[in-house]
Amino acid sequence: MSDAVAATVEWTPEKRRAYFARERAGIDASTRLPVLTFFAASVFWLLVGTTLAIIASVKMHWPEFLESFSWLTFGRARSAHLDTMAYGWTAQVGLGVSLWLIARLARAPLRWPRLLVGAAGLWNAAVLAGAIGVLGGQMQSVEWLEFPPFVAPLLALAFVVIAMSALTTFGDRQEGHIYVSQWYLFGALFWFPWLYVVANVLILFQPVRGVLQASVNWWFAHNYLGLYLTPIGLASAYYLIPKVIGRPVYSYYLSIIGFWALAFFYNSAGIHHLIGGPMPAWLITYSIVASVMMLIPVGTVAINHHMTTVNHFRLVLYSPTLRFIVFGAMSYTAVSVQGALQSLRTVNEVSHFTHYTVAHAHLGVYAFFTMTMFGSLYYIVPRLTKWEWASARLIRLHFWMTAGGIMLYFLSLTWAGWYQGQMLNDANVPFMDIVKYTLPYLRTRSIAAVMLAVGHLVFAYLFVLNLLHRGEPRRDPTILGDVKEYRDMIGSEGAPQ
Amino acid sequence: MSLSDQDLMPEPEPNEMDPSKQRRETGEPFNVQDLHAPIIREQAEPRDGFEPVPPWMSIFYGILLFWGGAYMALYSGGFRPDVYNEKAIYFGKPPGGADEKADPIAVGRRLYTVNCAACHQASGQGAAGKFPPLAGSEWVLGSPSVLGRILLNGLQGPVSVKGETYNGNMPAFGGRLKDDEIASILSFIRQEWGNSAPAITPEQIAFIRDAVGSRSDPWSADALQSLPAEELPGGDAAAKEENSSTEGSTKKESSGGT
Repeated sequence: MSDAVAATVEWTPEKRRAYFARERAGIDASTRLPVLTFFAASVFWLLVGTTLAIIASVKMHWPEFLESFSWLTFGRARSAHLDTMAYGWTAQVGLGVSLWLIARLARAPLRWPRLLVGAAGLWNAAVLAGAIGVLGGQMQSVEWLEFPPFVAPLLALAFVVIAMSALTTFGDRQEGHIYVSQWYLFGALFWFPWLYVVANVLILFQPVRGVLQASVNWWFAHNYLGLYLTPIGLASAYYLIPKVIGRPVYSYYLSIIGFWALAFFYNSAGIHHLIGGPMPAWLITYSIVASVMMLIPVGTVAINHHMTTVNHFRLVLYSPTLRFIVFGAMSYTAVSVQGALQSLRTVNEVSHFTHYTVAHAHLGVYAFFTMTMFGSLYYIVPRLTKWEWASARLIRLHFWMTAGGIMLYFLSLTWAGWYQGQMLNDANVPFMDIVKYTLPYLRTRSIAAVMLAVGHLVFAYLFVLNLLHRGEPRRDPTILGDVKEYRDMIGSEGAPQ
Repeated sequence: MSLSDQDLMPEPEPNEMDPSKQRRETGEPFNVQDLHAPIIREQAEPRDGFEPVPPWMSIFYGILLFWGGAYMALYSGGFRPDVYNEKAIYFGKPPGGADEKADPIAVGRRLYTVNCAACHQASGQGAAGKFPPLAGSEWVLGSPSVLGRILLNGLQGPVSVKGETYNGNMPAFGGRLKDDEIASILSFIRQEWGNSAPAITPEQIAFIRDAVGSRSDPWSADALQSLPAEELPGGDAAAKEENSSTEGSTKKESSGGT
């Protein structure tokens, strides 16, 4: 509707709500096919990655497990787990959420939905080929870039198509004000292809010399989380927290500080993975300072989210979206504070090359990003499938299995890793003693992995039911906890989930 | 023109399965054909609040940034690409190249070990009958003009050092070493092993290199001894002292030797 026409309408609150609801329905319809394609594929890869994770985890304390299959030796299973989770699950679910958010926030239909489905197909074919390559023994010995080199151009091409669609949609925007989520998404859409192409060229295609490869490697691997997954996770939290609660985000100024401090500092933080390595002292020192400075964006975002949610925390009892996202946002604060401390040389001397680092990585990619994405899917999917979630009980099971599983995972490996590091630094402790010390904790990790797998199966089941419109048709959103209590609490205005 | 509700919303199409049908029954003034329940019940798009930044936050971030700057200053090894130990604190006097340049003797020692010690030995004693000693040598302690020429172009044929005659082949270093490197080596050998003659500056070597021109043949001892006296640059105290005392005595000694 043009402004001139809009000016002639006598806008009542009802008409306004009706108008925007219709607009949203049209926008969601444009995103339905590509976004659901990305979600379905990402849930598939989540299950594949979980299976590989369990295999790798069990092998750590039971080396004979599946020993006769060369395709599932520890080195291959572990790397295939990382790559299917990174490029199959996190990257794709992030793309789906980004495309939906971009269209919603631009108040414009998504451009080229069919082309996006093609790009999703290309992306998944590349991930499949890469995963088979890794398991079949064509792995590159570069962490986070283990796929055979031919995969990289395919992934990059698919991403560029997706980013072009997202940016063109952004260009169509009807909304004058650019909301904070859009800054993060815009950043992620440019940062990822830059990171991925530069890292592949400088390591696999035109390798730079010696230790420079290591610095490029960790610049990329760290920024994959920091400048691709983190902005998408934060964009999603910045959109859904106020959306569910129905309040404005606490402070625009804090949003600005949080975004620009992230953009400025995160890029330099990755080299702290090479503390103790043959890197010039200033480069390591600079990365440590950048890592500690990450307290600025993290603290800012944490306060902004907290002050937005404050007085409405009771909603996490009812809203699946808010429950997962609040868990994710709190984990973001935790993982970043831990990361800042871990980058200090005195701490790193102990934690480096131990299970402590593995626990830290999962706190970031799982407890923060993956949980935030689950929360986003609980919000987005019913709007695309026009069908409510089938079972609140299963959503609760999903939450407690994943939240409990990742906490068990994190605590056991953090504890084991810290003492492992101290023993490794003590020349008097025989190496086998250290290995034996970690065994109970590694078994605990396998239990945690099974819990996560149960949560993922439950979620996949719910997702499939939703796609197929199975279950009782519901009038109300699928709410955790008592529906009557919830209705009393929110009154008549809107509904959070 | 004006817009009616029908322009805002299309005609209703009853959908039994659509839970949002409820809304029509409650008498809301819009239709819900494609508006399924989640979209209708959803809150408005998020907005920004404009609360100010808390003051304690600015203070905390200020302290953090100050810490970052201090940590960078203390543990960056002078931002040099070849310093790997972050605990090496230089405060503007970094080690290696820059520091050695300030001390030509240290550079000279290193270059001597690489270029000269094979023949003249680390002890500066040479090898009896083959390579002349540098310690106490009248050639080393003597005129910078002569010494500089030996290093630049080499020396061939019989030469008498400390009363012994050697007949070797001192190679030319003029093409291989730069002026400051030659000056460092010469300064080093003039002040090591009990030798004490004034240092030689890179400017003096550059002057000699100019004077020699494009000559590529090695010198003979005789040719060097019949050189006319030349005024080297850097007419400082060291050079004057050299002219007045050391060079004079060297000439005497070397003429006595032949």
